[in-house]
Amino acid sequence: MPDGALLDTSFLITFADPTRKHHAVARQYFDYFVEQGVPMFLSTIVASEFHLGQPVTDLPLDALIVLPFNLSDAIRSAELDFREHKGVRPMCRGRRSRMISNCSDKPRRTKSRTS
Amino acid sequence: MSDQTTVEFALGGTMAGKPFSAKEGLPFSRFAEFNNEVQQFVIGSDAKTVLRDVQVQIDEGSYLLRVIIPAGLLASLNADADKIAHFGALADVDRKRADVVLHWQERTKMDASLTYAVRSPSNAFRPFIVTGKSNFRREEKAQWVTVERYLVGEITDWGGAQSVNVHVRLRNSKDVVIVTADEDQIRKQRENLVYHKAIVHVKAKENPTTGELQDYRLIELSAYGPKVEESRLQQLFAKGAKAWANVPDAGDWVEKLRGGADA
Repeated sequence: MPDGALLDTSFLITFADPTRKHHAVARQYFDYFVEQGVPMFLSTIVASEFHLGQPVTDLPLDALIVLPFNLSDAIRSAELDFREHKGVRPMCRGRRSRMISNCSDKPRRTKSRTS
Repeated sequence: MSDQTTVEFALGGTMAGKPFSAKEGLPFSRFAEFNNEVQQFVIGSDAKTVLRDVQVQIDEGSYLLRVIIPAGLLASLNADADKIAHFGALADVDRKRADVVLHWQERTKMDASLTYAVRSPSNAFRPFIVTGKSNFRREEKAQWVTVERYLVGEITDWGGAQSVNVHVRLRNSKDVVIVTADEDQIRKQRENLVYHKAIVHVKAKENPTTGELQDYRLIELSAYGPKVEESRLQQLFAKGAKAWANVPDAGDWVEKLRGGADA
């Protein structure tokens, strides 16, 4: 049983908007977490991003655990060094990432660079 | 061997009154542990480095290992060795290297004949020697910052006459965290949450270097069992369809918001 699920902005958009291609999948994830009692975490950063498009209070906040962003989170997120991952988007169902966040509505174009 | 990239590690000591010698011999256990520790010191915390191609010479002068240090490790090793030699403080030294020095020091306290020396033939750093009189120390000034955390788990106990607290067995763990509370926080709970799942919102002190947490204090406590009414979700979906109508691709929108792949 997972310790919890950290919901990312694009997941929440896909969940909130029933016209999205992957809305049904997002809904299935959400229902599964609720049924299994898997804690769903909402970071304050994601809340801020979501709120740009829709009031975050529209979300079922009583089912979510709002995560404060602390100094240690800042340090660890810097240590992740996202620059390494530029151009590689976590996949919805792939094995490369356990994130279910960036479930894009269209296939990803992977950029190749030449030096 | 190039002097610039060479570091010498020397183990001194006596066995049955005779000094350790690369030719005349030394206790096998000392030989084995020293070789292993030299390897640990060279690699430090860089787990990616493989010493497969590293050359080593064994020479007289106690038991002496002369190692060519891989280029990727040389700068950090030289810097760490210099800090050890100059300050005797290990707090800013790679943890694995500091561990080796502390092991050496511990051993020299038990066997006064033992000495461990590290030096650079090219004087890239000042040499240091570990003896029974050494006082290398890892004075880590732990910084504790106040953080907030949500603990998810099962309440196993709460209350108390002398000290009021809540015991939380963390989800997917056997660890029990004791959270200091006050009587009012417990008294106002309408349900008895003992042996129930709960979310425990706490303040704590965290060491940002190690992630260690201590001094938990309760902010809020509530039962955990998310229940979402379908009507509430339908309201969300109705508003969401309008709110995000101008965002064709959520992934791209978020990526651009965060600076884009090329930022």
